[in-house]
Amino acid sequence: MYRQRKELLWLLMILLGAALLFCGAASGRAEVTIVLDAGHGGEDRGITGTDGTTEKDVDLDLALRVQRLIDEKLGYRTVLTREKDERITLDDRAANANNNKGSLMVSLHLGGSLDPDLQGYGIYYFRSDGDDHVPEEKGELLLWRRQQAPYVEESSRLAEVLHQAFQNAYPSRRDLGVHALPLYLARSVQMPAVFIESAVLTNKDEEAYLKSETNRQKVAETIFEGLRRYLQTAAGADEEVKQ
Amino acid sequence: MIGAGKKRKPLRSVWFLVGVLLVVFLVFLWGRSGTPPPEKFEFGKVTLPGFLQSLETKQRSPVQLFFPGKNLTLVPENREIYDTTEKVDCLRQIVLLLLSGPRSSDLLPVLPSGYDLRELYLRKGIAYVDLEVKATGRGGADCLEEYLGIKAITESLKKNFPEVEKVEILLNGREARTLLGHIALQ
Repeated sequence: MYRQRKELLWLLMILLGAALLFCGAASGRAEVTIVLDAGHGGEDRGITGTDGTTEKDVDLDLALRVQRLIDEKLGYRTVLTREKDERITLDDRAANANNNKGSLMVSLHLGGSLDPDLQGYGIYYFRSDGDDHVPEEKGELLLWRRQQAPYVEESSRLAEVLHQAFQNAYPSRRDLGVHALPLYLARSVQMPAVFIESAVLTNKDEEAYLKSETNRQKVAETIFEGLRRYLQTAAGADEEVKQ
Repeated sequence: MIGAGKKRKPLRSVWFLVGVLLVVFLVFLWGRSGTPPPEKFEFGKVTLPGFLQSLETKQRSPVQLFFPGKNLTLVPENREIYDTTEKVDCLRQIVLLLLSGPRSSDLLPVLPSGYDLRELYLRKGIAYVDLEVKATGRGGADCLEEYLGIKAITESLKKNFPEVEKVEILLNGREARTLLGHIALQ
């Protein structure tokens, strides 16, 4: 009787151990959090196309489409910095991303130009315009505006992978390239971060392109594909940065 | 007695009110009869031609201004400004010329329409460019053009006046986080 109980106890312990291991693996997958930032919102309409399309609406639509693709195909946790048409300050967006311990942030925008003929897609990441201090010791306290400093290299890699995805999906569209700029929002986030401008809304043809749901879905799929490729190779590197 | 006091109070209040109104009326009349105050020089309301007209008798000097090119880089354009005794007036001319746009059709404006120069100060090597936003909506510039616009202002000032070590852009008299929502101004 005692022996049977002991065996049962061992069995229960093994099952418990297996359950804990399973949960650990599952939670490891769920630890990836993708922050999707739909640019502008509320009274801040962003860029307005000649036919009246507003950037804030397209940005949100693209963010929701990318979120759905991540939910369906990868199952990673996603955080939207805005879920409806409302104005949220850049500092609040950064705080939301940091508080949710995002693994990476993608800020969705559209291009706009004072040159009505300009069209194409461009990817941006943060680069300071002077204050380039990168902490040498992990855990060093950093000012709010320097939070991105340890992630600049990884942000650059994320930008390159997304850029490649756009080049593959749109071989005939103009490529405006990858640029490092002193972006206000990106400088305050503690994770790799990029801005994607998937089309230039001030260009008539590109505004017409964005009006089609099919085309917007293709843009979302391109962004998703870039993220998927980045995450396939970045898991190890990202953990290193987080520690 | 108490009843009589109660009856007098409204009468006193009426006389008091009449007195106050009389004083206000007299002050108003006095203000109107005096000589009008000299027109305040408000820079934000002065247009470029108006400002340049006030300097027309002066000699001119060449300057090199920067505008965003269609290839999304800064491109120099040679222009002239009037020589002034005050350095800050030269800097104001440069910003006004930048805001009025390039001469070449191959170059782009520095900022979308709706921005004016409110004031410009020079203190300890820092040029404070105070812009006034007139338009309620944002224009058509994205991250890169916003960056190039800011760079065009700072580089044009620094290139022509080496004593300008740094440029701070203010919006409506205050420090601002961004000019068009993307690029950090500090």
